[in-house]
Amino acid sequence: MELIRKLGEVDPRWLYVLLVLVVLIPMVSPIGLPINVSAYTSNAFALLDSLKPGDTVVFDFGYYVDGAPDVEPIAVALFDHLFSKGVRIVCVSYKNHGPMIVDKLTEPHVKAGKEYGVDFVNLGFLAGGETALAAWAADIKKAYPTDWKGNNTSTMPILQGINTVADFDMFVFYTDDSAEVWVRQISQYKVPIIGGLITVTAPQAEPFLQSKQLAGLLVGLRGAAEYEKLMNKPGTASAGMDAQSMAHLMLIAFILFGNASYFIKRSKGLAGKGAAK
Amino acid sequence: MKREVPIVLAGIVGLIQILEHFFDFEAIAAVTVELQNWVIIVSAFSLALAAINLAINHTQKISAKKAGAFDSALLLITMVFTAVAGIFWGMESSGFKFVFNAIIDPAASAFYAMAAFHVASAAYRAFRAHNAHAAALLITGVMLMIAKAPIGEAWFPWMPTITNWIMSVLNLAGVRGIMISSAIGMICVSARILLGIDRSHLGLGRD
Repeated sequence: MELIRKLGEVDPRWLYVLLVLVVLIPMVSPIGLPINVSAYTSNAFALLDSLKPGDTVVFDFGYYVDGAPDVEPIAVALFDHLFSKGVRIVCVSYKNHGPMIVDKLTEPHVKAGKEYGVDFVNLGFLAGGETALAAWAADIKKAYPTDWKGNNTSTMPILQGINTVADFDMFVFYTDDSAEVWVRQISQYKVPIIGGLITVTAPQAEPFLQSKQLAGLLVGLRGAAEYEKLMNKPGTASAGMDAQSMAHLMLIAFILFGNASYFIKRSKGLAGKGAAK
Repeated sequence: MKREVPIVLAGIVGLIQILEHFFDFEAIAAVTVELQNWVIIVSAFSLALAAINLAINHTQKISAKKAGAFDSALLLITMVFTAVAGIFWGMESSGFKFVFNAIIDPAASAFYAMAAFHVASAAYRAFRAHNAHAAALLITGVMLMIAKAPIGEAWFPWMPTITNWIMSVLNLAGVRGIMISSAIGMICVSARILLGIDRSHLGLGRD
């Protein structure tokens, strides 16, 4: 009893040390836990897998680099998947870190032979938030007369025949924020929308999936790991799942210790009802 | 005049946006796209204005030798370096890429990762079953943590069925309720602004 009570009073700094260890060890020596694919991911994968060579898709980057660890593995997996299918990708940025993120993510594909302006383009960031999104969705070449590198978009091969968002075969956005912006501005164009979200914002997006305003959802590192499994190409997301499992287990254990300690103290009259510790 | 013109302008522009959304008039659609492109230009200028304002504030802080002057100097140096690298060397230059890939990216990721420690500490210290509500929150949270991690699924294969039900029924009902009520609130606020009843966005206060 005394040990459990003490476990509920451990200095949080020990908790930090333990957290570092439980995250680091599985990364150095992976456990290889099985990953089950959720219905969300398999539905989104099926939609993206149905694209044909020559189809054109929008990737809208709506996250800052601090949200990247949870959402970027989704973008990495989708770049791999769609480029391998010969799908063309038009990258735009809802947030100002986007152009640099696109540059980083497309670099290995450029080295592998993908041609800028033909297979993909980085249009860059437009200030103005939701209004800017509405503007380029209605007339892409007017809002983006040049791409991020200053090339004229009207003569760019990848944008021939594309004037509005309705001309794309699919719209994928990645965000560390709410999905509402894209639902409000893009769903009216009747183009299938897939959202790549960080784990904490995904529950807010579920109503849009049920109302079919979103065609698919990919959620956080877990969603990326499931996608990698469906592609049969394990990557960084799959490697991170063991670490996430161990961190979750450790947190659950400490929450249980904390509660056991709280109830022991309460039974002895040492903790008041409603006390935080 | 100073009060009326912005209110009338806001009302007309708002009305055009609403008409374009609900009706298929080519002329209105063209005006809407034009207005939206104006917003992009104005927003770009406001970013530049914000940068100038930031520079003035921090320069004043340094010259007055206020607390945090060193941080202000650091901010100004990095801001000028990034701007020079982007404007003069180009956004594909190694200097600009260095700022993003070697400073902004790892620093921001480190800050985000630090949140894990705060969450761990807060969960351990404050996530207590004080009463029935707190216990329900605690049990649901722990179940979701188990279901979202592969190890939890491996040990409790039935857990995802329960958590999926929680997410797609209980969570959905709650989120939908919040969304509908906030949307109705948004419509009311928009109507007040467009009709000139609420003037707080112009710095004129509410009537």
